Amino acid sequence: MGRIADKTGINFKMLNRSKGPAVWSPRSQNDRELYSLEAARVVEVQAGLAILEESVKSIQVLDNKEFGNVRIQGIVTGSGELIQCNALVLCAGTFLRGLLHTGMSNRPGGRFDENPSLGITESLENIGFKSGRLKTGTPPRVDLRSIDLARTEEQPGEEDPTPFSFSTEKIINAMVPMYLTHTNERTHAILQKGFDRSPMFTGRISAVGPRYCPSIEDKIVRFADKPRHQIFLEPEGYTTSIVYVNGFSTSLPEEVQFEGLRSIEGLENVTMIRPGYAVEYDYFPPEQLRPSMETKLVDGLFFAGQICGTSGYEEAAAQGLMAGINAARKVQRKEPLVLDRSEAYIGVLIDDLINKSTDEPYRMFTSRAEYRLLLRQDNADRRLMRHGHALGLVPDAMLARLDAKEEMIREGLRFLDNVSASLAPMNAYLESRGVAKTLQKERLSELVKRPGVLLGDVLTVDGISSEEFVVRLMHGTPEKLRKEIIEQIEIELKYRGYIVRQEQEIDNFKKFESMTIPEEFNFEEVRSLSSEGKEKLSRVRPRSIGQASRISGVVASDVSVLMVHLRR
Amino acid sequence: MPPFHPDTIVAIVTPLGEGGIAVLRLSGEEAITKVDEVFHGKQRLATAASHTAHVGKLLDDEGNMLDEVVVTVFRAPHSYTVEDVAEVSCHGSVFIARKILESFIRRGVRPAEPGEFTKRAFLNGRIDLSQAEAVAELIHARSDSAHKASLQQLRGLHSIKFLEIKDAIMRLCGLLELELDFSEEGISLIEISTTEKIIQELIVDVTQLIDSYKVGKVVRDGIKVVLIGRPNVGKSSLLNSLLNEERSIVTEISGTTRDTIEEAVHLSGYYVRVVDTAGLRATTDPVEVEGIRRTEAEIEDADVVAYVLDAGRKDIIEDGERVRSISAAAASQGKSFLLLANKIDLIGGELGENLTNLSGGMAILPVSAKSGKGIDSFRKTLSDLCLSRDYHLEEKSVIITNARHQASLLEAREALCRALASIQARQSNEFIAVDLRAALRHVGEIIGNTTTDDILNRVFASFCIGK
Repeated sequence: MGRIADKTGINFKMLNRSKGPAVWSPRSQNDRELYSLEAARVVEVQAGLAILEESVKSIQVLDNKEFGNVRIQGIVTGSGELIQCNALVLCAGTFLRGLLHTGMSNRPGGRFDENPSLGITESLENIGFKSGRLKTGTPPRVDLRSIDLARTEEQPGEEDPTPFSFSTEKIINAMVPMYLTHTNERTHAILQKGFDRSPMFTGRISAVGPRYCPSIEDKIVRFADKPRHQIFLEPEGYTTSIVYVNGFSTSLPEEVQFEGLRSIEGLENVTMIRPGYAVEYDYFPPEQLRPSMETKLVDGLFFAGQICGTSGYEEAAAQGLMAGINAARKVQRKEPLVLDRSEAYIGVLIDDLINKSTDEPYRMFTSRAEYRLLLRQDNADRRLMRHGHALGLVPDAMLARLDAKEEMIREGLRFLDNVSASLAPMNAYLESRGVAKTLQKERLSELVKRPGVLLGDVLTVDGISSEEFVVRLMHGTPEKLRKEIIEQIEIELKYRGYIVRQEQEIDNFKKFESMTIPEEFNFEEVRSLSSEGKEKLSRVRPRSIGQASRISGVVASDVSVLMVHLRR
Repeated sequence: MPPFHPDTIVAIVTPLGEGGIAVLRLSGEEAITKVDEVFHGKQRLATAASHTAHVGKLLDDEGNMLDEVVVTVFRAPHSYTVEDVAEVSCHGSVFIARKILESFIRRGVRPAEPGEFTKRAFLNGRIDLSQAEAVAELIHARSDSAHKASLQQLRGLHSIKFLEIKDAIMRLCGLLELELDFSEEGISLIEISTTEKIIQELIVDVTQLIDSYKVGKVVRDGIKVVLIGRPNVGKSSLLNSLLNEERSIVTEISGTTRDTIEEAVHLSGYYVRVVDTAGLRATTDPVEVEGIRRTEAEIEDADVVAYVLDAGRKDIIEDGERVRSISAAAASQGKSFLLLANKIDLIGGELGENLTNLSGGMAILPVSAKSGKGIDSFRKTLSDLCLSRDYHLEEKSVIITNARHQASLLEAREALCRALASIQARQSNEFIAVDLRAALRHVGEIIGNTTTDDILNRVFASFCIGK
């Protein structure tokens, strides 16, 4: 996905760049058409993969009463054919009994111009799954040629952006700007006139939507004192004039949307290509899943994406990746790969999903990660690439690159710990950065810790630049790799105190994660558990003491009691 | 199986209050070395054999003697918990035992959870399997009751103060997260100087709570009883009979006690400071005038004012005016007032008409410093007052009395100081947030945990964010 994003991106930005590296987050807008073509190409050329396209009517399972287990058998297609399998990953998006609302009219649909999926929900409920209903929305699309761009603020995106993938050397795509404008009080008044025909406010939609992606009508009601809201006009590609009106998600009647849009600066003469809508769909509360994304009820059945109650591309992609990996491992009779909260946002995401019953679409935030300072986009390769390689997903060459990088980082840290610069050239540099001079020879590692001092600069200071290690790094290492190495060393030095503390917290966390609870453990039999604790534990069936302690409704004394029991 | 918990825990294991001896137990890898650090005896405990007892002095952080104690050493695995255990037997006052407990906590020993010694004994395999349920129930029951107790304790001002602190940290966390996760939304953000100011105020608030850690103010500082009355009514003799020692100068010449004299007695585990003052009378002697001025200052500072009468004096009625004005002043300042009729033996042990007229219905405690009559009920009255004032104070002011709460607050303060250091080093929000979260976790140990969702809820409720 990272590689496809790099290849087809038309506007890149590293969000939060003014803050510390732990919260930098790369974002891209992509050419919708090119992205979809490239994604299809990647899938189609994958060896060992057959692609069949059909609608699915129901999920078929084998109920082996003798052994008390239920196993996946396959799917029945719209044309009635049974396709058998050993493992199934169900990624249903917003299609399950999807209902699209614009104003007081609604029609069945998974998304614009596509039919809903009917039948799957019922077949899963018949097996014993519990389902719920969520809602999300999308804004109207408008025609780029009808926008007065001069009255908006151009958002050019970054030059020489950081690629998503470590294997992308450089992004060379032509960039397309985005445009910023705002709603105003007149817009709000126009939209309010249509509230009596809003499916949200008239009770036509009762499903819960995400609070962090509110519709424009929600924003007007909830934040009545705000005179305006941001609207990003996002062209969908190089060769299309379709523009996504980001910030204007709505399910108001079409004519109200149109009138509202035309009250916005720059959109006075806008052509609306199609209106926004809200979509209601079924999901399956994710506490019904194991950490591997396999369902607890049916052996070999995996869920991923909106069907688990999440919202957003990255969230869906992360689950798809893990469900796919573990479905393959299931077929190979191997242990599932489970990332924990200290390894990856993926671990945080899945752990949150299976332990905290969510009643609104779940979206990831950096604040959800306890070990945020370590889970950075810049060290994703150092955290996760070895897993990928072991699974056969990362080629040997990438692993060799990582090994070389790690070795250079180690060498670099050693070098900086042992070498100090002569005073004169170093002070000349410090002065140029507006940093206090150093009075005695200081180790480079100490100097780099100072705010305002950049490792990349220090390595060019007279006397340092000629050192063997520095020559090798600055002249014998490919540019992107060199940048990554310098970045890693710099972060490790500048934030050492914080990093060490987080590592200690992780040690403590791992202690509790490693205390496993047997799969067949009967929580009902533990007399001293609180009744709420008993109920929640029986439902979620945690596999470790650490996991048990994160379940809402399980109190500290329940955890103590469990520990005492498991210690037998 | 190796001991499960590597950290060392401590608790007072005897019931607090009256009693000859209080015992503190430490268990864990550092149990013996932690005691050894403050223990001065003939032998280092580090080298002491298992199951041996050692007499010595226990020193405080400044090297002053806290108490003379007996330390018993049990080495792993031959102890109750199967870990290294040290038991410190000290003199039975609440004050001393808690002082010692505090000093271990300051040295990094963790206060034990309810039932934790027993739990460790079980986890380390000392208690057999059939007792598992019982242990589990014990832990559960005790933590439930502890929870209830702490909720009760946290009613009123306590909880308001803790909630204020928690709320302020949470609000700050919310604002910082908002800027981190939704920086593209064009929302108005908090100034870093405001964040800094809020954290500084939080540190002050938390420090006040930490300093209020009392063990109950009464338990820590004791209560102060001031003996006043005309010269030569026997105040010094009364003080001595409380002390059972001849400590102040007792003569028949009135005005002997020209300065104030303070002595401490332990009553029912409370620390009672009794101040003997210069007699109150009209005088021009500059030394005595100074003495009387000091007496008035002591009254000002006292918790209990005990007015001593000479039951044998004919002109006793002349005290009436002063008794009424001082008792009224005491009442208005929340002090307790006692009226004592000393030398009761001189009038045959009964309160005469003179006395009852004078008191105007106020209770009079007949005592005799000379014969010892009534001294026990004087002691009893004082210790009852301690009890009631102890209770009284806890309700009225925001103080913490629980060693675990104090330990949590100390940790919270440390985290807040680190957050402040991050701000001053111009680190961005996520670095400040990491320590604010830690502070929140420690405050949460007292009044309940805060989850990420709580913080996010706050963000969503207050700000317009999202696309």
